[in-house]
Amino acid sequence: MVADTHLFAAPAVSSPRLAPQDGTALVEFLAFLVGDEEYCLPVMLVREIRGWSQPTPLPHANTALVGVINLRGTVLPVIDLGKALALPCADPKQRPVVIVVEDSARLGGLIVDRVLDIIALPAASLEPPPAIPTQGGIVCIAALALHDGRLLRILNPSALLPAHRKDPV
Amino acid sequence: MTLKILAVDDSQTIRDLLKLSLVDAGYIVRLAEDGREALKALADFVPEAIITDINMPRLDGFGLIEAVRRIDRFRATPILVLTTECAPELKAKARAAGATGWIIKPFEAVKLVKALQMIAG
Amino acid sequence: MTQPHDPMMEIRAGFFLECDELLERLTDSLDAQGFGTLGDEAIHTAFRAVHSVKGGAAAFDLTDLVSFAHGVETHLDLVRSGKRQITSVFCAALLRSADHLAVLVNAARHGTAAPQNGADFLAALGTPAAPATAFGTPALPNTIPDQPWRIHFHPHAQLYTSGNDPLHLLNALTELGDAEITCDWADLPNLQNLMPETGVLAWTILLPAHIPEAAIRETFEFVEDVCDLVITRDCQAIIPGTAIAHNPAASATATHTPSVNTAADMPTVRVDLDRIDRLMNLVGELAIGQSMLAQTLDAAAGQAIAPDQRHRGRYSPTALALDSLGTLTRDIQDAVMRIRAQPVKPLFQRMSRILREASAVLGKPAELICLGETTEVDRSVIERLAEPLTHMIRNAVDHGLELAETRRMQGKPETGTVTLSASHRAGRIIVELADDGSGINREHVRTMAVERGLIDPDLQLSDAEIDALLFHPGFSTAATVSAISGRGVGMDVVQTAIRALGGRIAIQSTLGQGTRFTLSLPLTLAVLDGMVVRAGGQTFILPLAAILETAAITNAGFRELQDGQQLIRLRDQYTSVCDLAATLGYTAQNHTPARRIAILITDENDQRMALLVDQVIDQRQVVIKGLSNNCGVIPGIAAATILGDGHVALILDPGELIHLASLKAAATQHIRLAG
Repeated sequence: MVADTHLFAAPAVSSPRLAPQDGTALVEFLAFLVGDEEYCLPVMLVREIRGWSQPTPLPHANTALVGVINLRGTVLPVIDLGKALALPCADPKQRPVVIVVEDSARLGGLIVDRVLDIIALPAASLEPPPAIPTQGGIVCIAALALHDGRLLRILNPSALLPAHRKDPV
Repeated sequence: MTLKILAVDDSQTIRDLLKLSLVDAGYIVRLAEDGREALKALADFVPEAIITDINMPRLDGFGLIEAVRRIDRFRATPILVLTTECAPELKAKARAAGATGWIIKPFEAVKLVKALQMIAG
Repeated sequence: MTQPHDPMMEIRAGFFLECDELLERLTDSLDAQGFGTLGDEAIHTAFRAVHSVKGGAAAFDLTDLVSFAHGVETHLDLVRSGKRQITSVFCAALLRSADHLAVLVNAARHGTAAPQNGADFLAALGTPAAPATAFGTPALPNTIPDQPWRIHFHPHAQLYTSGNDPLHLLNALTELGDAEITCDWADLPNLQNLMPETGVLAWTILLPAHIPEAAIRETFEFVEDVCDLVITRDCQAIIPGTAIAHNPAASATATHTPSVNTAADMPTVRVDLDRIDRLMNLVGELAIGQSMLAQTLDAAAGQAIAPDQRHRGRYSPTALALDSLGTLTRDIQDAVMRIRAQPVKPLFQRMSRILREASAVLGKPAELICLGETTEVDRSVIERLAEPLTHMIRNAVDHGLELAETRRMQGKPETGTVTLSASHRAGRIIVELADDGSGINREHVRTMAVERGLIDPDLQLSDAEIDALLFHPGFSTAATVSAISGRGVGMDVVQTAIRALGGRIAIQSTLGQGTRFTLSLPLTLAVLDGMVVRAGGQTFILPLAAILETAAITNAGFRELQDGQQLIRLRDQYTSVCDLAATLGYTAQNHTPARRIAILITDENDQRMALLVDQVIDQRQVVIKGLSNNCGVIPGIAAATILGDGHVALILDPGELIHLASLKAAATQHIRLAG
């Protein structure tokens, strides 16, 4: 499975530092913990970082989409990343953080445990994830990178946000 | 130890003035033109304090403070808000978002440095 | 003599360049939509531009520029916070002010004298803006300067979490003069129990008498609201640190009355739709805020929000004040809704044109009769009706109406008649499109469906069920359908569009006589009168317009049929029952009717159903928040709202619930028939 490189080049808005042709160009990522696992998201897709608030569950909810919350008047779906990535992790109510991401005009909230840091990585150091089929978790990973001796998994939010379902007739 | 400051404002003139005042006072300064650029700058610049304007496009001052406060590393970083009015509602809003203090624009270099001393030493 | 390199001069030069750019942005924004209208984004850009000019000018002491820019900025701020509306007169005045701003910038740049007529331009913008609240240190009466200061300082937890550090503050105090600082750690727990960011430490600081109190207060400026601070002269108590006295001039703020429209001006105003949307949103937030207030006060009074207990405090001053606030909020909402509501006439006129076009192209004489043109509908709904209606009108002419000859042979007038009507019914907008054409040939439709594999050949379908097939995506694509009477082109698209509006579409047809489509739409996409209920541990909103009655039920009224369907006796009629929480998957099926409430709901086809919930809380007007953009379409749920406590509650779609329940029943039936 090839990494979604458009993930980094797409926002035309931004600085030339995102141009993929220059391998040394830096891309900034937000690093966070889900349980004990560390993941990253491109900062370009991050709208805000908020604290947890009790979500309202949706009907027939699948386990990862825990419900919707009020984001200053917008109804925002929130996804428990631990469940979405099939990780064993702590009860989501323990000091969780919600990272609000935007993907082609859809907003969604990802519930994580802690936000650690902002890291800059050279675009060239990003590699496509291995094509080992696991429980759908692999679809969510856009790229991998080595940083400070750790393996970083960069997530692709569009795989996590609730898809637009057609009205079932 | 020389203190590092991240200064955020969408006006080039204000950014230049901030840099001038802060460098004169002996700080190391990094500039950003809005909240989003500020977040990106934090990837390789760990400031001892942040000064930010409020009215900025893309991610405004309040959004920036809220985001910064949620990141472990910058949870207790002192943040000064640059504001043109001192209306109590604005102060309350800044406080609620997690700001440490505020500076009225136009700022005098002396006041700015003093404020920084009160929050960052 | 060479000037020493002065960075300030460079920055100053840069400032004037920046001003040129900002002024260009300002005039662009003001020019953007021509006279009389200003988009929301344009306002923000304009505001920021003037704000930045002011900020920079202040740094270089360009007082004329600063005060004029401030005046303009104040007016722009009123606009962007919704306190002032745009008129074309105001817009023109803004443009002239922008020009004067440029004049002042140039004067400052070249060091020439600036024209002093700025006040004229500001006057043209309206009543002079209130002077800015000056940030002055308080002018306190002189106290006897012989007693040293005693300061008691006890930080709260929030002082620490906001990034402040007492160490820096204490250091700052020592720089004012010789300080004697003692720390009070009486509240300090065992170190292993210590939570570092709580306020367990307090300090007492003694400072020499000659230090001005203002200097001391300034040190604590950032933290006065997050600590206990008492500054006394050892024997004299002074008010503990609270609000700083405002400049008296500022407290006499002139109320701003936008008196731009003189009698000679136009009686109407063109306002950009975004501005109204913003107002709508703000009013919606007001409603939510009022609701939150009511909830908080209720909770504070220790009253549970159950109907009987609430009545207890009903006539208390708080309750009455809240009531009148609620009425006021509702009135404001209604007033804003009326601004948005528009008669459907222009839309219908557009449809007339579409019909005439279709009629000409297809060579079928036809006319459109419009009824209820003055019916008012929220602008947002009107806009999104245009496309589906266009589709349906074209279909009516194309497939519904027969050719002129055929009509003559059947004794029908040669010119086909299409009727478009709008009316209010049961809290909704009903739009009907009817033609006097050939009607739906259900045999053909059924055959087609079988050929497409959409239904089982042996299946018996009612007329209504066959009609419903027309909305199936499988029908929309084939060109051959148009050769046979019966609609089919794009009806699924129409249905999707109507559903997205929170509406429903139904068909009635008689072979040889014609077809009628009935669209049922919500009155507005903005607010809803609803009943707040609890089921399965969750709070839901049920649109009041769909509710016929509610009743507490017992086992006695319950009947179960052979096929597992449950019925309940309401109003001397047996109605099918649906357990809300179970249907939506929040709980397992609960067959116990005891201690539950049944709500008899209906859709616009008069189909009824009894919905089982756990509790009815109250009735409220709620602000509708869309769900589908971020969450997709959720069956049974129309939208969401924000409750008084800030949480999201789902708004149910009664028609769909009825539909879902009947599908379920039909499915169960078919299984039984098959098995």
